[in-house]
Amino acid sequence: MQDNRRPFPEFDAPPVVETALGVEFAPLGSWGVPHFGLFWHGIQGEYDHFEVQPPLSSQIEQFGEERAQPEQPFFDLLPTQARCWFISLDDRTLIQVQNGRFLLNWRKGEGQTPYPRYEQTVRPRFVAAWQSFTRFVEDQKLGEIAVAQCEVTYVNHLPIGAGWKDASDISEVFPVWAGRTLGEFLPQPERVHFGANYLLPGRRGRLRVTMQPAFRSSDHSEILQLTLTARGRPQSSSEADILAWLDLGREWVVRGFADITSTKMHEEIWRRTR
Amino acid sequence: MSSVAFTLRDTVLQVLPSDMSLTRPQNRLRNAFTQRDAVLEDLPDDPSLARPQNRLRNAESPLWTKTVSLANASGWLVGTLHRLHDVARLPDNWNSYGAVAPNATALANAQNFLHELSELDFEPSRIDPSAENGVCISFRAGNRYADIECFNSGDVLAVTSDGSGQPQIWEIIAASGDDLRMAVAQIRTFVRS
Repeated sequence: MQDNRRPFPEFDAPPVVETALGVEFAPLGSWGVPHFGLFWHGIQGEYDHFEVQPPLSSQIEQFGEERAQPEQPFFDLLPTQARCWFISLDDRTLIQVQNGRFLLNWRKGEGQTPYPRYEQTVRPRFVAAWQSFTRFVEDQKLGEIAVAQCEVTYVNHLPIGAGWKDASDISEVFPVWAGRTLGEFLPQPERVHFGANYLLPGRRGRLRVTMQPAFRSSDHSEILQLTLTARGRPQSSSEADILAWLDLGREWVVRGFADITSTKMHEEIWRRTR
Repeated sequence: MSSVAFTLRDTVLQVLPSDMSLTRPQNRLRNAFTQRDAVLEDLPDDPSLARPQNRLRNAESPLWTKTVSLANASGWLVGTLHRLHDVARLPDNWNSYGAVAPNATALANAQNFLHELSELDFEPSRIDPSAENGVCISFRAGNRYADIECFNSGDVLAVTSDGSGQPQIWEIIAASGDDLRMAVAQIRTFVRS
């Protein structure tokens, strides 16, 4: 039941605590460990510290008959792979690089930092970082970047006491969870977690929604964590097509968020303005 | 091969003094064999445990914000996490003997262990700050005692003792993935045996 004519949802106090915009591409044959440092050298003015993380495995979405085919071997995890985090001076923005993946994350962190908005901040930061990366690959003559997939993730935290108290309130927050039984045997659930996948039209991608209760260490509070991830293949590897897909993915994430959460939460907690 | 590893490790442990100062990080090098090495060698029929890629996959996530999932958590986990963070708020010199308060590294490792314990519904007896600078998660059942000490340095030691013989002490290489799971499984088996 898509209705793209409805105004794009906007909230004064959205619960988003992290966003990630990313690209998965065929690993570059000439990439080696020294390239992490060489790339960092070019962005170190803005991203002044780093961490080494375990590599991400491929998460290419498959559709229909594609599912029967084996995973493409060039996306397999290579034993020598690593993933480097390059973290911004203000600890709010993160560039993740591995041979085959590129992501830019924004996080709210501790305090009351407002969500800086996709159009004004998150998207332009991704563009700047992606251009730095593609320029670097070109300058180092590492080959052509063949983009296989784009992804957009929004992580939302719903603290206890803000619209819900326990599992019996989940249906008040997420209409998709009715929380009903025949009433013959089961008590109220101790905890509720769920997931749902939605296909984008024309096999342009898939939106994955997961909700789970969690404990947030930063303020020692119980939360419901709602994560929405859209992934799909852009028309080509060009920057314009990558951004077009990210815009589409972001639209599905935001409209999906608005659709899966209740009007009561929109109005009373997140102050929906549109 | 596995029996050789266990024998040598036991021999090394037997030459150690029997006091609890063995839990100090500076003494950990006396233990030449890690629990992971021993257990992996004891499980040759499960190749997935020995593949580094599989261990790494446990930790992979493109997300930056870290939370502890309560989706399959035991009922006691939330209270225990609150206790852990009470411990984290202690000031330096909390014991008036110069102990440093637990830092983020020790807390994160302790949190990982608590999550694994919750998955097994294996509730610890106590969560305490460690006089050796870190967090101690302990278990007691009758005369059986075990603990996991997560130090500020990032080192993690496990101890089991039945109150009569030498305590068994080993280093846990990584406070995540299979190393963590095997340490918890070994302690649970010991405490419940």
